[in-house]
Amino acid sequence: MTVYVDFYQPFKKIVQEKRVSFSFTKANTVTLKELLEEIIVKYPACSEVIAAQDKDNVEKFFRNIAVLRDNNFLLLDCVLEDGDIIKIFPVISGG
Amino acid sequence: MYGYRGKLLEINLTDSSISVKKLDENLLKKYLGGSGLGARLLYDLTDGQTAPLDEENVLIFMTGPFTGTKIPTSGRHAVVTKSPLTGIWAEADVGGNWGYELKCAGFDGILIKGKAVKPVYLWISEVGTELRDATHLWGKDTYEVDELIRKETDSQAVISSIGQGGENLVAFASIMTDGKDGRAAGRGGVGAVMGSKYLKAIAVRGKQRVEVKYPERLKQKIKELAPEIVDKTRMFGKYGTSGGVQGHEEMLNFPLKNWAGERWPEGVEKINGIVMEETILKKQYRCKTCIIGCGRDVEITAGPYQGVNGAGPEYETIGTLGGLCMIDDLEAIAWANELCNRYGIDTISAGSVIAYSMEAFERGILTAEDCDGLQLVFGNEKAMIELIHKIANKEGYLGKLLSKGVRKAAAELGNYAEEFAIHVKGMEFPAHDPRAYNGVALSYATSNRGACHVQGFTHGFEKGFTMPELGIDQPHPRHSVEGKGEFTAKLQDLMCIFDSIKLCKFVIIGGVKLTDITELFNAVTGLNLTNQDLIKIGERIYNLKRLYNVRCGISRKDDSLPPRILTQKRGPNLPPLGKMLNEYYAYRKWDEFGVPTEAKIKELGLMADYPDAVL
Ligand code: SF4
Repeated sequence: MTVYVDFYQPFKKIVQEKRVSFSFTKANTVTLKELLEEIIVKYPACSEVIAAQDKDNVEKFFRNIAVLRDNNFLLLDCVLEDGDIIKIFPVISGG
Repeated sequence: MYGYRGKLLEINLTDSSISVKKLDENLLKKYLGGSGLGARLLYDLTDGQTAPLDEENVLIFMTGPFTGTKIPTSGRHAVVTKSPLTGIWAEADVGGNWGYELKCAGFDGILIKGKAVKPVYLWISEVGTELRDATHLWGKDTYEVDELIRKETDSQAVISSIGQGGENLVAFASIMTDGKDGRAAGRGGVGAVMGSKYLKAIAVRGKQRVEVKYPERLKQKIKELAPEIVDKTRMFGKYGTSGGVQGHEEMLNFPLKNWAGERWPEGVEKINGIVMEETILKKQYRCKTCIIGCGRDVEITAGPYQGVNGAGPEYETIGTLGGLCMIDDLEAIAWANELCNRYGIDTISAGSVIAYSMEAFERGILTAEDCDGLQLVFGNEKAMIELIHKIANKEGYLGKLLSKGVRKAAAELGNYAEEFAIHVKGMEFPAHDPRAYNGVALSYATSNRGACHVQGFTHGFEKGFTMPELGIDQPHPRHSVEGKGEFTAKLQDLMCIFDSIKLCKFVIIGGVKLTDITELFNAVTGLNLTNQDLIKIGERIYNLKRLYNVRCGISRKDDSLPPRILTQKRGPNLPPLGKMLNEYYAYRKWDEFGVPTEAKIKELGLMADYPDAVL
């Protein structure tokens, strides 16, 4: 299965592309956690920008970002589907 | 009682008298401090007939039991009064260093009564309290006043002051604290009330430590909470409140074009906290005892906005002076923000009335002549900046008109101008779209100070936060309707706790829960409250503020949203307000008109009060 990830600043600058596709051999059992693990392996600077000392810690990465699918916020254990478009922002709690 | 000074400084400006009143312990236990205690005082000292800008109105500055301790983000205070913008309950919550300093000077709060005959400022120190002549400061902006008063008093004094906006009684004038690394008591026109009393500033310097009952327990609890707070707010600290602008736009939450716009990705790409960090950010700054540090210190050294040097624009400011006005120049917004801070006017209301006037101009309701030749079209940053000067100085027809706030301005313009005036109870919207979150819709409609996103902070709990102690163990789906009344009411009660004990709501991002707050509270005060006890106090406070508003004529007719928000879709959702409101009233045990029932008033112990305790 393939999911597409739209990166917003500051991640977009790191990734150098707005949309990146991630392919997985298993279908329909991929969780958001697994996707984020892929992301920080492929683009370690994405989690480094949050905390260099914890750059491999996917939970800490997730704590500081907001992840959307169809404009709904996703939790770490959400199962992704083939063709999903996932959007990643810094945590959006401004106010 | 531990965590309190037990003292209220009372200043009567009419006869220049200064006295110290003892705060009754039972009163503190019932209303905690901050805006809770402020509500009790305002309820007892003013009524439905009190004119906000008359001598009889009072202005209350109140810290809470956490202020002055080492609890992270507790360096805060509340400013409470009857609002000249809305004519009802007003509270403004503000960070910085001032509240901390006041507590260290030996007071829980200050009650300002009466009206001086000429400009004065108040100087509070270890030596004593005095009223000083401020004639030479009248007409100066808040940055200038901060420097001048510190020169005259103590270089380490902390100042809360008004600028020309407050002096000129702009209905949404703010009270600024901490000079150019400023924090604003922004909403509801508290600065105009200060200006109406000829009180230019309050300077404080205090050195006494605040005693807590169980220092070791408190230390341990802070040690337990701090790493997680730091960990979960890294992005927030790095990019500030405006780091989320793009996300909010994507969620159709970021306001555009006087709330008529749908999408603007190309605009928000230029006006967010990440761009700020890469361009004009000089350093982070933080309120007293804060370990998050969302404050932005910005500097512009070249170009048309050269000279900006101080607090940078927050998310709400970028939303209103940027998105609502369709201005995509971050430096122009930073300049407009600095002007608002210097003049002492609320950036949210300022951006809102300017965006409103742009729409009125484009619709031909305002003419070029009305606007002194200004081309008031969306996206015109020069016009936006020019209008800030005009509003703060009440200059020309348009400056005077807009200085009254959007509700009054629209009513004066007549025709169909009220259709696109975006406010609740006279308070302009902050930068969150109620169509994006039903909880925000209900919260705006029912918040005691008018449209407000932080009196319920519901959007946070419709995105990702949880509060299991309130039965919110999952984020509430943002477009859901069922259960939204109870959800919103519970969070409003919780937020009353934050606003009264004085704790920044951003610690919620850092994972702080009600149980943590209760433990901190008990360690500070030595009391032994449960979560339920604390929430009951929050509910009492929320209801008391509502009762104040009921006395001012507020009922269900006012718990509404503007036609544009209820009828024009942005994305898939229109908030079904009536249905949510019915559920909300039923949960709160308010009657069909939105008035707390006698049974509820009795249950909350609001009848058997202590009105004479401090007077
Ligand atoms: S998070 Fe921001 S607003 Fe809250 S106390 Fe810290 S610096 Fe102040």
